[in-house]
Amino acid sequence: MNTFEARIGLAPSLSFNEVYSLDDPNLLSLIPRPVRALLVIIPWMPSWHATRQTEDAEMRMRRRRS
Amino acid sequence: MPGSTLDALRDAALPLDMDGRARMLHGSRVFEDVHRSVEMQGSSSVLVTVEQERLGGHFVAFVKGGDGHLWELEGGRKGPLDRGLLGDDEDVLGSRALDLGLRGVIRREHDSGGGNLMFSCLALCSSENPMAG
Repeated sequence: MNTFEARIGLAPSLSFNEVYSLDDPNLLSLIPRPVRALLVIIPWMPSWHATRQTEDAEMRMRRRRS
Repeated sequence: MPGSTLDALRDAALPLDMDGRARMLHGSRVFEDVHRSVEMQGSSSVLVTVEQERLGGHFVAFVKGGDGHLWELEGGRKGPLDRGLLGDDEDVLGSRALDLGLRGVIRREHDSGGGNLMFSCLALCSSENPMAG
């Protein structure tokens, strides 16, 4: 019971594992499957920020119409 | 696990709206206590991720929902984003899911002239019904 997962009450059948590569089959094969979720930390990027803003604006438009 | 801190947080969060959930989690003493109790012991992969976010990284999660869709979750957005329907045998680390989600983000940055993108990624894995291959 000495990990964050154990203390917060995550079911023992679930585990967190580092993903070292998205493309290298050898590194990917280290990850137990199925993977239920990916938690990603990504640096702020201008292109991503622009895409997000556009997408959010479209979402707001759709909500106003419905 | 039933009766756990996580279970209680989930029950508290479900009836709340987006802002309410954020406030609840932010103010949760119990959550903070668990966090602090493992912080002292040195790095766990979950806490390293939290620390990286504090240093200016953006946190985004990709989850396969009960509806089979790939959902992109990011706190600063207007809501969850549906990235498409995954097959019964596809999980979020599969090639198609990555293309619909994380690789798409990386590719957009690369196409707009960005350099090599350093990111860190944690997988939440299940040992129930392991996939073949």
